[in-house]
Amino acid sequence: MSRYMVNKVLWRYSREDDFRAAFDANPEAALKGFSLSADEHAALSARDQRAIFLLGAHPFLIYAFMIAVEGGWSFEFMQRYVDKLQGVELQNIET
Amino acid sequence: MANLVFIAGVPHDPTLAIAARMAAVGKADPGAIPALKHFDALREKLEAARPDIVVMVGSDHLNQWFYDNLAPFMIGIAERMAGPFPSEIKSWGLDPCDLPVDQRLARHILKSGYENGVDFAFSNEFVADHSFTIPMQFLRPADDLPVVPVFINLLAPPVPPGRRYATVGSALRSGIESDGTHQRVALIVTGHMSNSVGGPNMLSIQKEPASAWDIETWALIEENRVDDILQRATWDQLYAQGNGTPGFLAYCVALGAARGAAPGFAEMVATGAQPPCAFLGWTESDLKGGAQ
Repeated sequence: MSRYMVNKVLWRYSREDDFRAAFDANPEAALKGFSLSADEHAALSARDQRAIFLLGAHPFLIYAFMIAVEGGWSFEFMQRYVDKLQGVELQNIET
Repeated sequence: MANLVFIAGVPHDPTLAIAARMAAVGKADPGAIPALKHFDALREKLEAARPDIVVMVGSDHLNQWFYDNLAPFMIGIAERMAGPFPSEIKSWGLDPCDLPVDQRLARHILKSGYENGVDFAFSNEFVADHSFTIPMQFLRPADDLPVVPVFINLLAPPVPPGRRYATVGSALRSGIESDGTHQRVALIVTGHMSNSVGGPNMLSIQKEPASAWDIETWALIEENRVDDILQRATWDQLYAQGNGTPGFLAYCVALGAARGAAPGFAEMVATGAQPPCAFLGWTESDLKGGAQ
């Protein structure tokens, strides 16, 4: 488990335009410098919000990441975000 | 000695800043109006306290402090406290804030902490996020007072238990009261009741504006059962009530600074228009009811 690295990818994506552009162009290349498990790598590459959540990433960072993926916040986005987390339990998010 | 002349505990929900803008043109969500009124009431109480300086205790929401180096309690000792982040201004239309830091008091509180068992971290370069700027703008719109910013970690575990946040509150008060001046100092803290921003229950406030935990915790606050409140204020217990609920730890700082005195002003707003939020206020006279 490398929750710290997952959080760091989410954090950088939502705040660094260059990193976001590189990730969107080629996730494989953008993730090269991060020490991630295969599951973490797959979840991030696919921008799979539910899988990232279940890996114990910080909810605040996932939310910011998904807002950045969406290109901005809207109520309709928030509804979709919550729908994707239907039935999941809060995870241990300690790094 | 300087005097602690007022303590406030308030929310910092950005939707309240938006609601205040909308209220000016008569278009605010009715569910936000009670919160705006409580901000008004506390602003008047702060004004009546005639403060010279505000010690502002907020969080950072992983905006700048990250897991590579994360302090639980940090004092900002730079020349100015400016913010919020450009992304926050863009997202919510927040007003910029740029206030002088009372560096003398900031350093005094820092060193007083070291002498008395609280090892604060300190920073010479920082940005104050919305949790600093929103309370300041609601409670002191004139932007005319110097501040001492105190950053507390409320959302990136591991975090200390609530009783340590209370100890920090008491240490802030000791620092304020031992600074060798006669200045009048107000303490503002900002945090959450139950909160699930970014989590699966983010929209549950629409069906249940206050959770059972909010109702129970609020009853303890109204009865000023500080020990019982602190017993409940640990990461595991709070996180189980919603991923953002550890934001309640900020209120433990206020309770610690009040040293057992009951707040003369206590209002919870749970309308579903925003996550439930708590407004607490202690005047100088209220503070006489606690240990000195």
